[in-house]
Amino acid sequence: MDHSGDGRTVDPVTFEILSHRLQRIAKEMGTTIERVGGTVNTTQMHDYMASLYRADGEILATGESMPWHVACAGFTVKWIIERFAEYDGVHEDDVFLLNDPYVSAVHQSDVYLISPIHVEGRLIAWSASFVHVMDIGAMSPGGDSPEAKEICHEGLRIPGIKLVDRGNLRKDVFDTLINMTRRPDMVALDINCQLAGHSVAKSRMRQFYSHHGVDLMDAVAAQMIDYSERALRKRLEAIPDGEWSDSAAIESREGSWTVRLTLKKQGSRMVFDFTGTDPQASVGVNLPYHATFGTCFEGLVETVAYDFPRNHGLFRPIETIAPPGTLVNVTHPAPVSLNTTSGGATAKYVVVSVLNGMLAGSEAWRDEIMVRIWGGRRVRTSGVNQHGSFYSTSLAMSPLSGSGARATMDGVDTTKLDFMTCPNVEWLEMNCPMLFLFRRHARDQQGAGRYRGGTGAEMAFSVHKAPEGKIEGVAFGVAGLVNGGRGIFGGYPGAPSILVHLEGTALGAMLDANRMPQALEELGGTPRVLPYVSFELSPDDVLYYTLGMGGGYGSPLDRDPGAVLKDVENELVSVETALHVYGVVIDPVSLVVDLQATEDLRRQRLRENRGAGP
Amino acid sequence: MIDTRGRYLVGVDVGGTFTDCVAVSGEGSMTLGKASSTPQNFALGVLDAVRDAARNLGMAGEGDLLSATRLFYHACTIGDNTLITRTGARTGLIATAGFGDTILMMRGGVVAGLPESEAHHMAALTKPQPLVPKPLIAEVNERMDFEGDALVDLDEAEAERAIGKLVERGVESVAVSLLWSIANDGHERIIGELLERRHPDLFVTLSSEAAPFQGEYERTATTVFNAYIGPRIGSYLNQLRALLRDRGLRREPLIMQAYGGVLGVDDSVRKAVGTIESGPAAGVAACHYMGRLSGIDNIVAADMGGTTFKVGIIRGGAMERDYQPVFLRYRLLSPKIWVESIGAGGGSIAWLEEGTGLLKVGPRGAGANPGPVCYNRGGVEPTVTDASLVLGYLNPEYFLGGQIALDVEAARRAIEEKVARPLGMSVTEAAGAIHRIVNAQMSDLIRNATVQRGHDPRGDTLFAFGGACPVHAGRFAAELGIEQVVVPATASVHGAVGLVSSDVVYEEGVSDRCLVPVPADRVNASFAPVLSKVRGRLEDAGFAGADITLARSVDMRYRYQVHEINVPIPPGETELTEEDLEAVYERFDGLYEAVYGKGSAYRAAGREIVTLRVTGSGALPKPVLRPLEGNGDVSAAEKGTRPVCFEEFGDFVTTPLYDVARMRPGMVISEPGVIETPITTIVINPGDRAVMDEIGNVRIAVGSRAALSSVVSRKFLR
Repeated sequence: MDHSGDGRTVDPVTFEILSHRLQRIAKEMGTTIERVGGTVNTTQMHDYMASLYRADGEILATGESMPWHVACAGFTVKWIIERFAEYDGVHEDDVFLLNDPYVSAVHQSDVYLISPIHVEGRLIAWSASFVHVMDIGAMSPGGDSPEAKEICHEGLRIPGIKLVDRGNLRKDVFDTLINMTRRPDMVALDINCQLAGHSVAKSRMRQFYSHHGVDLMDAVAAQMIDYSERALRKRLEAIPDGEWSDSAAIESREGSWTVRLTLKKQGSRMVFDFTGTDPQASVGVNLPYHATFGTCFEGLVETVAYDFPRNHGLFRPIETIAPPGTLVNVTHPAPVSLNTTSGGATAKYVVVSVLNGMLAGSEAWRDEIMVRIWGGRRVRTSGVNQHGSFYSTSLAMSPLSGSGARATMDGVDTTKLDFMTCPNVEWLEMNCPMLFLFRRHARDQQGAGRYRGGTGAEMAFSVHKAPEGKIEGVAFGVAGLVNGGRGIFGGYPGAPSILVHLEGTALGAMLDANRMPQALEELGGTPRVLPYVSFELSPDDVLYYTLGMGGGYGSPLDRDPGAVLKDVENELVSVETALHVYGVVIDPVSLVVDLQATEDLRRQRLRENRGAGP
Repeated sequence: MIDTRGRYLVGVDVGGTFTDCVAVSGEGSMTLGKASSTPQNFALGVLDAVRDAARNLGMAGEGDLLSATRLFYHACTIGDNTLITRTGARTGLIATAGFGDTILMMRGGVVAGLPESEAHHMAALTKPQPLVPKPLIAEVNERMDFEGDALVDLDEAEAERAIGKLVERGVESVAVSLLWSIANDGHERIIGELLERRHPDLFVTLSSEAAPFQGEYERTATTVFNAYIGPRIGSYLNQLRALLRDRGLRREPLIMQAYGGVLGVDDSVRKAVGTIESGPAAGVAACHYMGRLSGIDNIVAADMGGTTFKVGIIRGGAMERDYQPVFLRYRLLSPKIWVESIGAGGGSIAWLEEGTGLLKVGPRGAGANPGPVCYNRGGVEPTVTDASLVLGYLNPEYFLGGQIALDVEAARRAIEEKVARPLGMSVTEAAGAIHRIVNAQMSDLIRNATVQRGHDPRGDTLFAFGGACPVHAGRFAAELGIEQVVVPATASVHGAVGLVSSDVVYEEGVSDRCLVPVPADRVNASFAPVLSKVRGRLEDAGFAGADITLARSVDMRYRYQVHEINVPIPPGETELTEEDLEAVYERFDGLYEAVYGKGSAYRAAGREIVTLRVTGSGALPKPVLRPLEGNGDVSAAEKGTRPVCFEEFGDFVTTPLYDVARMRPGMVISEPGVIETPITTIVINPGDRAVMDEIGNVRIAVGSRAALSSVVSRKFLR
């Protein structure tokens, strides 16, 4: 075992045991936040972060937190250390709050809490957390503000403030903060659950460091980081060097913005260079630098570093270049409130895309390639619910996206393959004045391929028993005609995610006639495809929503006809799509594959394709 | 009426390898029987085990014991096996139009219940194969809203067509799960009646009966699990009942439920999902019983076998429950005794991580075949058992009572080659390192299980059972600050002991969300039908008067939160007053802050009651044990010495060995030693002491400050 930062050696057995305990503490901190939290994002979607940092701000243990935020909070801890060195200093049991995207948050709704941990007066570590709060006093309820033109439209912006001073909650500060939001009680719960998480982490860390000795624990911590760095570098060295590029565009009424990325990998070093990305946008899809760095970190830990302990060691081999004033390095006063699900999702998509390129060059890693879905549309709704109180909630349906195809198997239907889950329809209907018409797998929309992409969900809902007779909504997420995900190696793209506002439908009449409509044709009404915009649902309106679908891998003409038949039996693919896209001839009544006709048809298609080629 | 004539309480617990039987006589003597499990037809192994016990009692065959049996208890693994091997009934699902895919979508989650190493490997993740494939899901146009208002009435003709489609496709079992059936079960009932009328042979499960709780995904999953295993459990239990009756058993067999407690055959089939993981629950129930005998009510129940380490918690005399357990990555709304497990057992493999050279133990194991290297069955990778052997804890000639001869040299060679040499350690150091790591894994799991629930494990008693646990228990107890370890005398048939000490328990609940303060009238009105349902079931089962105990509880949470805490209400059926409810709310605040820390409760958000639950118990006679006789000095139990390596001494020291069969109550071991039993090995570490209590349990006082106690409540002794 190597020597750690302070030169102390930890034997491998002690290291194995104690490093696991540190990981557990971070996990427990996260569980606490999830349980004490009050918004759908925190309690059901796993949209939070709880992690531990060394005294110098290096990431130590991250539990099951979103890696993206883990990276951003690394910037936050270092910033707080720097900032408060100038003022009052950092004291035992202080807790700092920060949500300024220009400093180290992603957008204002993500409120970070940072707290030093001391043992016998010595700073030994930091705990950091964030949750996506229910409201932040922006122009749109819930924070996602499509109409915002500058950061000042997007709510409170705090570059670091002391919320708890030496163990005493600063009630004046706390009240001031929650008072500037639409739901002070809920935002209080959002902050409270984080305080509970910090309190759990602090007490476990103190107990643990005192029991085993601060010096030993600090040596273990240093070694954990070295260990991850060494393991990653070793793995990267075994992968062929090269350069890979990709780009992707977000489209809106106001224009289109392209993110461009080149990955240069040499030895154990990776440079993610976003030079060439379009200037920052006039809507809040822009990413601050640290968030762009975070997407690189997240892409890495979801692919080539998926099995390493997630800490600062994985940072060290990465460099991120993002020119200021662009979509991936926003400068004052451009807005950011919609960025996690738009600019962030797009940057992440191109990051994984270039990493896939890198993996394709490696014999050992080729089979690990997985087509990524890009993102998709998102909805937040708010208003007065059937119980008479104001609510604001993300619909939180992104976990029902289809995941991309893999090198050796299909993508998975309705999942993003992460820790997120969406709410039950019964939960939404109990808490919001909504009525769902359906929520199901969308047929024929997944990216076709030798291995097909995963199927995403489609759903529709209307207003039900709403005291004000309406639901207010905000449409955000990645917008554009291609936002599901491209296919690779001949695979087809998945269908884009869309939000359609159907005005003046026949829903009421159909319910009166004792029937719940199941198809858009039955509903009628005037459709409007929503861009980045606020909207309002009236009683006769319906919102139709499809999630992103996974892209395919390899040519659909190479797909096993038996697998295509299974998709038809499972109503994921129609007989028509089987014929036209996969070249598989299936009798629509008996559902039997005509193998001879299939072979002939596929051969003919291949000839045509070659003929059409250059 | 529960007929309690006959002399014996007989419990039979079916495990993966062995079927265990315990027969407790009216005089309090306990006789054991054991047989190989018979996966082709588990009922045969049950009879074999009963026959073995009968012969140990000097009887000619199982018929003699069964006809003298007062109560017969049974835990089966049919449900678990059926699910794991995917051999359940061909099952159809009827769902609300537009929501048939709910069970396939799984709320978009795939990682529930997976270890982190698998959960992080996105490129390899999949969803489980569905128990009901899409062609067997039928939708019906109907719709209730959250208040139970029927927005779209059920069209019976369409429902009949849906049923017809499933029957045509050959289903044996049908699950019916409609949106908001918990607010209004009218439509589910109509479909249930149609099914019963037209197709009386089908096994039918309605979600409003199987899991009347909010959340359509989890409710549907519970309903589907029940439908999938119900017919298999039905045919097994009915066959077993007939076989046992044929051999002379005059009573209804009582079947173990995962939430603790037993039910008759028909009830067990109706709520088949309740039998899943009832085996581990029986193990915790046994600790509960043994704890009561000794007046111990805060217990960590730890079971370590060849492949897994399992932990259950008993707090204040109550077994901790899990109301939303994950099984095969599905989350179910079926309460069970909380048992968490990790892949740490005697067969767990020690290995070095590629690239970093770090020593890891498990989760991969050598299983029963080839097993540890020392079994000499072809295993080449060193395991925890190999390390225990090398350190001198295990007797190579007397492992499992001498059933398997262990090869010490082979174990040494494997550890030397795969661990010691690459790490530059001696073989003994490497074996010690393997021990330390696996002990740390176990103490981490227990620390998590207790501390995260707001309990301090110091002051708890650790019950160590399963073949490998007593080798390690003293070590991980010390790490946790636990001062007393109990190795139960009945460790080899521990689950069967849990069976014969159980009561009949019915568990019912209902989702009813209401904001605190709730008028007492409303709470009483909501509880009334549940109480009378549970009372009715107990009376139907033959219980009356003081034998019936009903206990209410409520699941509460702060508003807007999703995670709930179950808050018990003192037993009884009397109407609750506003003061009673006030006490419940306060108890909730207390439980909450115990888990999440002082000040974490945000009362301004308001509190709400989410679910009302009733647990109804029908008291069954408990075994009354006869104390062991004899006493004397422990030297009478010494069977020799062996060099054993203890961390404190850094080397092997000559250590006395004891034969458990020759130990008597009150005998004290006050120096390092090893107690050998036919099923396990108990290691007494330096600084610890051990004593045998009056019912044959070995109790270890961990650390020099721990008190050595052997108290057994007279109440339970004959």
